[in-house]
Amino acid sequence: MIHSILRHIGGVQHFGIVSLCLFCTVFLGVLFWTFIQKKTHIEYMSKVALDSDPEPLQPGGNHHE
Amino acid sequence: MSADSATMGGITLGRERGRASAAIETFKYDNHIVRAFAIATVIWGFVGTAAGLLIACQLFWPQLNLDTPFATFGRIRPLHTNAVIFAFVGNGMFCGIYYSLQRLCKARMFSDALSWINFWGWQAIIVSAAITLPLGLTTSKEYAELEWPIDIAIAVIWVAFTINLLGTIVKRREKHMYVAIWFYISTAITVALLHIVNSLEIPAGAFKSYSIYAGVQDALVQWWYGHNAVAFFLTTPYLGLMYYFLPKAANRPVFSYRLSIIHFWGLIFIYIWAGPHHLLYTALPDWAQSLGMVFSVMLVAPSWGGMLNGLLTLRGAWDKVREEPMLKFMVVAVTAYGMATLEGPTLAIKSVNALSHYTDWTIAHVHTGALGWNGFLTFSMLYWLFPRLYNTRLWSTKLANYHFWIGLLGMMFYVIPMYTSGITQGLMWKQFNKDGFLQYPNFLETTIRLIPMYELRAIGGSLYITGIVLMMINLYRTAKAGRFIGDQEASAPSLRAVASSESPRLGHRWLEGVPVTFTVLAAFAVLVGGLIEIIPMFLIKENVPTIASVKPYTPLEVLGRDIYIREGCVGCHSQMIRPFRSETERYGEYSKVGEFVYDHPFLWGSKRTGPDLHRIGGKYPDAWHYNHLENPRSTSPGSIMPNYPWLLSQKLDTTVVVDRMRALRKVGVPYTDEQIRDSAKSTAAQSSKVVANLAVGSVTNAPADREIVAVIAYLQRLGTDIKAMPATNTLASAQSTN
Repeated sequence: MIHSILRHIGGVQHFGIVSLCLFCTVFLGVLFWTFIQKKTHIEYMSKVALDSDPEPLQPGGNHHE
Repeated sequence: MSADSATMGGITLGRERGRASAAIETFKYDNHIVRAFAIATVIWGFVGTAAGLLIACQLFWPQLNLDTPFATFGRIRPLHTNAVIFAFVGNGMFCGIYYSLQRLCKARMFSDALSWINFWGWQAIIVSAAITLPLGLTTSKEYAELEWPIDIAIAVIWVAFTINLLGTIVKRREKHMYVAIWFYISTAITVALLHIVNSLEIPAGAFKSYSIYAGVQDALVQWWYGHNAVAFFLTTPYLGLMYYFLPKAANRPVFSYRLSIIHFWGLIFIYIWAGPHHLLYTALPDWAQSLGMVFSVMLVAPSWGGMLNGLLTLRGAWDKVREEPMLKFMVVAVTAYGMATLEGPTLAIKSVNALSHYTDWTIAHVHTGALGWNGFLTFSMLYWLFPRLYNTRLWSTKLANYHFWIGLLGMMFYVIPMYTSGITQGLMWKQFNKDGFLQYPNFLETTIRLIPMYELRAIGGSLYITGIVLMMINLYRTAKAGRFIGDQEASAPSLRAVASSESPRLGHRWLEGVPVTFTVLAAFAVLVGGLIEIIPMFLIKENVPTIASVKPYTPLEVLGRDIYIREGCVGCHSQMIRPFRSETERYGEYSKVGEFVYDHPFLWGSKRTGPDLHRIGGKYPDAWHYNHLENPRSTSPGSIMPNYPWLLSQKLDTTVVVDRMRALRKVGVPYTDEQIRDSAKSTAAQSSKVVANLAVGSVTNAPADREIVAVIAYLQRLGTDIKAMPATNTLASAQSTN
């Protein structure tokens, strides 16, 4: 099957162009997908790490400084 | 927990973020496993860099090889790389993932048992590596040197980690998976894929195996693995850690979540294609080289997107960088990531690579990444974690600041001499005089010129290690001053409650809520590039033009080659002459792809601390090799190569040759039953010839049954098959390669 695909697209020399087209398609798709996100969701997600664990530090007793 | 909540046997009813009433669950984060990985990170960080310092010193002080096999450069170098990559960064990665994943998922790890299997299994693998590599038990494939039983153990432990990771994500209490988790998922899937594909080998004994791939195919698979080990072991998990710890330390939300989505998908899709840039101008077919180069250059875009996202997260918080050593480390780490990811694509441009490849420039490049990106990000994370794990403040901010400045100075002293050394080396190799001859025909001249740079590099390494020692003291005193919180209590609404409060969405928001679909898509993204590059290399015959005169190695040469692999000669000597006049003048005819069809594994190498050896066969008499291996300075004054006296005294084990030839036959080397049956006779006959040649060269006391005889037989065979070709065939082969 691979042999026939390679024959069909003109051999491995064209892999560069095929690969670039593939990448551009995926990249544009992701770009589009990203920009249809709701602003509120983006803002919420950008704070997820901050909200994950407040962990206030207790002042310790025996410190160097 | 909010004030208007009511508890009912561990399950609490309350409100969270303005959502409708939801069941609040209480649970405990497992900090025991985080602490275990953190301690392992610190210990292995010291061991890995100390091994690096030892081999750095051996390069200007060869006596430090101690004339013992277990301490020689060739065996300790893979120990250094494995210790830093898999022990230091590996434990650092697990430490950060086990801490951040639980918090981002608002859930304890899926299984405590799997967590501890992951921890102890990984430490056992590291210890096995630390034992087997100095013993010379190696596959010789860079960053994949460990032999087959350890490879199996790695696969098993990695599966345990992946199940634990995915299990935790599935039982999470946060509806959406934060960007850090995407990077963790891509790491888990891709490392498994890379490791399994690259480690396919046929055992030829308890700790000996042969790669199922040969020559150019082995090279392509290895560098697909090698490059993506950098990508998916040293980069993606650490990007996940950056996206978690940087906002926490700066107390700022991530600069652009949209950019992080593009960063993630762009990076994982492109990275996997870039492997062939490690093989530019080699015998790898042109189409694969071009593909690797183009995708490597494109890699700048997502990499810099991520770097800028990290640095811009600090907007409005730069005043904290002055105060907080943790942020100082983080800023340098992200900057080093930016430098390394700009430099990498630059080095992947063929014309730049022509100068940089095989030189110390590559060493400078990888250490910008390892010392700066991985090292400093790990230190930053540890300084942040220890006070929180022990519920106290850092013992000494001043000492952490000293660590930062000493470490930074160490990095500078490391990379600047290595850039200087690399460019000097590359230019000297290519320099012709006005009469058209090589300006430096003796390779040794170019090596000796670099020794001051190697000395400066060792100073840099010493400073960096001093910084690690300061960190060890600081973290130990921090732990002593505080009280460890092993199980940290937390509470969050159940996922069902969170999910039911949201209306269904399309786009990435939907994807962030479906981990299994996300995992499949991420796997697809990383698979595409690998399949497109590797499959044609195996299926299209024109990629590997055969050369009729190229024959399998004789039994004695097989044994000699295995000793060459055992001693790690490939760490300093390439076997790949590129089609440049400066190389063909120095070494002889450039290497053809068809010459390596029986090379399991390939031994093209990636660094020339010594000269290329592909056409070494027949260049010097057998006695020269004998004297050279016993004491390289006897034939090459000023050489920095270690002595190999044990090759002259250790008896050659010929009992293994039948098993090895059988294993090689399984991977495609056409040994006949007769050749395997007569291997002992053949070995004895060829050994006698070598001994007779040695006698001609005044080496009269050499017994025929010593290891050096096999090594000489192998070296004298290298690159000679093609000389047996008729002139017309040579031309045809050259044209087909071009």
